[in-house]
Amino acid sequence: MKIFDYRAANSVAEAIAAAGPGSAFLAAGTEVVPALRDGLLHPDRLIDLLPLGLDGIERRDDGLRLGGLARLSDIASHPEVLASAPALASAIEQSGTAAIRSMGTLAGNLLQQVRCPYYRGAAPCNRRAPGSGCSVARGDQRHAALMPLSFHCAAVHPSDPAVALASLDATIVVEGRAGRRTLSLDQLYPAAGAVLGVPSVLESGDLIIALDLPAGRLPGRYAKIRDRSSFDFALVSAAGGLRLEGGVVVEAALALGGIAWKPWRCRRAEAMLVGRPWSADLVRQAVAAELSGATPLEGTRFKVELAIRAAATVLDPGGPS
Amino acid sequence: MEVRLTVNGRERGAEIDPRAALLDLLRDQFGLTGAKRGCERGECGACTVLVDGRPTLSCLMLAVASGGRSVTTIEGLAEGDRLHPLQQAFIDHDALQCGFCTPGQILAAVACLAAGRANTDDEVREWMSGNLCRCAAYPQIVAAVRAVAAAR
Repeated sequence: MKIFDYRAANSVAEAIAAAGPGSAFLAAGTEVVPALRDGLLHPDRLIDLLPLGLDGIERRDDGLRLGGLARLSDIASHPEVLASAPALASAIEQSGTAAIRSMGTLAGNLLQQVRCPYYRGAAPCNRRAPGSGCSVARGDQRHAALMPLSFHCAAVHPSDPAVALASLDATIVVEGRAGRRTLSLDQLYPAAGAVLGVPSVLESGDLIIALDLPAGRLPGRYAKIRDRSSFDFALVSAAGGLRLEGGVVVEAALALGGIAWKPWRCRRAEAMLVGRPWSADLVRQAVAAELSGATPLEGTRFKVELAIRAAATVLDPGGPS
Repeated sequence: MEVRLTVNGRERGAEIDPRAALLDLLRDQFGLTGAKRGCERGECGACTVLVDGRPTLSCLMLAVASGGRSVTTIEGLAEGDRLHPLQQAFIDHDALQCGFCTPGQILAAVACLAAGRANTDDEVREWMSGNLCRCAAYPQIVAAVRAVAAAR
């Protein structure tokens, strides 16, 4: 590990001012410390954000505000979150392990790098070593994307909370050199076709200070399908819910995880559901239509059916609430 | 760099390399070798300690970031000669063989009980899934944790 200059940030302004070429932000360390050891990050300066706090969870008139540095476990056990966003609490409780949830911050979770085995190994990987190639084409495809970022990278975004947040229309409050701005979850991640090694569009000095969950959204559920029943990343996951009136779908929200470089909000499927009488078949058709643009590899084809079934679990009006 | 923190109720200070993990500080400078160096990537749980009451993988926390915090290791759990109920339960239920993972298991169990998430065997398994036991003493570990939960 290369030597670095460690600085504890005393204010948001100080943290932003201290950032620059060769700097990295540090929060809990669950993502950054292994990356330092593996040489994936080699900053000259490490700016510790935990002294900033920014970990409150507060009810506001227009919804719920989660501090960017709120610990995942504190969010999952918060009564307001359990009441208005159970999909998020459930997604967190199915993430990592108790220690990782207790340490890890919300912003750090959203900004984590991919878990593709080739990114963290020595084999060719365009994300780690641009131009070296992508090993997924002839390698292990089980955790690869149905809808890849580009021809150059087939890794998926590994976060569970991000999928729930996408279904809840969360907005991200970013403080940076140019002041404050808000992004949707969709805007946080690169656009399709981008060729880059970074997990988000944020630039040096950008700091996620909070996430806002708007009021009045479907509380939703979270379904995670994985090889092990604990401490594993999703093969496919689904977050969302439905509201019916007289058997007709009047509101629907759905996001899928494990299939793309970002949580995949299923606007097309939602539009197909709303206004029609609910049936299991309708849900299946809607999710299949959403995934009609997928470009599965030999080893990811099974994820189409898996995604349909995961979505059906959260979009079942008779399911557990 | 200098760091000052509280370890098992006692204030301590040390001169450290900014690259050192809290685990390195505990083991190599303070001589507290209960927390074990396992995978060093947050996958095995052998280094689990409590930091401000939170279950923490001490291999993933930089020592320099622990300034001002309160750390509890396995060495700080007993009160004099009286073992912590979980330590006693691990003995009573034969919840270890080689013992390498045991300090991490017990600190993780302390956190599991504190969170009130030891209500069923499955809940204990989920909340302690980050603590691997190569000897596979899992059934006995779950029994020990459940016994302490039931006695509360």
